[in-house]
Amino acid sequence: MVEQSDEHALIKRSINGDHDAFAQLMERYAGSVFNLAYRMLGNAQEAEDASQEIFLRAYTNLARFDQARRFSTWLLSIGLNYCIDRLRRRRFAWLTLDDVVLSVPTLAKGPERSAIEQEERDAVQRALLRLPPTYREVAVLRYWNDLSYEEIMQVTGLPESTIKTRLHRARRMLAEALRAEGVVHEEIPS
Amino acid sequence: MRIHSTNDEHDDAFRQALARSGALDPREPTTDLVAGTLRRLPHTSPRVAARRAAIRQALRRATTIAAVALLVIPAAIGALNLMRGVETPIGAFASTSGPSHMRAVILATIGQRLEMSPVRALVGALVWLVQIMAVVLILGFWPRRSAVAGMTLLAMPFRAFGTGLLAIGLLIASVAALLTLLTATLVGLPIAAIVFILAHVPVALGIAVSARALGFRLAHHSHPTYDLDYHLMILAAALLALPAAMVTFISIPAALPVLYILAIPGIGALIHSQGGLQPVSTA
Repeated sequence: MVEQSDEHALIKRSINGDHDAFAQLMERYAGSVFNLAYRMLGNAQEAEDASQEIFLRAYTNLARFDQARRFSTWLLSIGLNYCIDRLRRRRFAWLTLDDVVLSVPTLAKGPERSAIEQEERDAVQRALLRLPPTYREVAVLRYWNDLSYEEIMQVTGLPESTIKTRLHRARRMLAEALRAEGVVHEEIPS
Repeated sequence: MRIHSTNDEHDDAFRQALARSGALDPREPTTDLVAGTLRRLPHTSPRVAARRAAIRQALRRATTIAAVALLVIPAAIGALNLMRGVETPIGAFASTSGPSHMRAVILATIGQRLEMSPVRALVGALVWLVQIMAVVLILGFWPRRSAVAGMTLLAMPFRAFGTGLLAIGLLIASVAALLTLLTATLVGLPIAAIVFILAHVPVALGIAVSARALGFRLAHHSHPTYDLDYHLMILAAALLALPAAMVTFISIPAALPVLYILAIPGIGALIHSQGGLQPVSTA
């Protein structure tokens, strides 16, 4: 509750043009905005650019922010719309997996185990990027941003039934893609 | 990694399976997002920034509409003139002065002077310098996008060349058609000159990308970085500008095709990397 009122104070100060207050808001949500962009776009470099653009859009639209809403869901809805726009602008459906391919596994858990885990993470990211954007967005919000159905409804503006259907299909497609990659070791019930 | 079911009721099981694989681990940005965004924030309050953004957008739209109208209306009038067989301004000039006379005038004013070797040397040096300046400027303005396109060129040189060849062919064909229509009206003549100049912007961008790729190659980067090594870039630009400059000693008009050829791979890489926004790896 204290955090919520503190957030409202920061928003009010930001609306008055206080950059320090907006910087504090950005500090809070930089991680979730970046991860949303990264999972949606599939490229860290592009996700960094996108994150900055999302925060700039949020700042420009801050005066129109309805304080009855949660700032996090409002910010994520701006982020999601931006990522979808960016995906639409992509004329060609190339998968950019250079981040995944070029990343070097850490040696903390031993090279073999680390390499296996890295491969699993890469496989999940590849499978995620193969999902249609409409399915990818609900999967990312649900599993990577850890949002409830109600919060996903607020972010996407979709009814709960559509979200559940898309999530179900996204899960099935992800599981099938991971099975095809050899990451899932057991049969998936239909 | 084990996934138990794709059933809607097994939402948590799916999440746990993803978590076990480490796929849900948050990814950290490599740059300071907050500092980077703060540098780009408008110096005004969000309300004023929103108003200014709306004005900018309206201006952009108006400019686009005006540019399209400036292009489409004279081109349409030109097409109508050509269909009706109306004498075009260039045709009128040729008929009053006579084609042979016009050619002689042009040769006398431009051609013969270009035959002189000091002039050729001067033009060659100018072509070389202008190319270097253009490349350095483009790379300075778009270091990241040019780097991404340069990396793409190194990753797929043959595909980039093929795509670039196709793109430049289409560009030449469409610009030639547009110039034919625009020069069929008097009002279209200055627009035709602007179109001709603007048509060379992709060529300049293509050469810059080719120079960036050459710079990476000269630096023997196994994994090229976004940082711009200015000395290396100037060296690469100077090397790449040499062929067109040298060709001017034989024939000045021949420098243009050389510039196009140098730009082809860069243009292809720009298309493949979607204007340097989308890197394409070798993998």
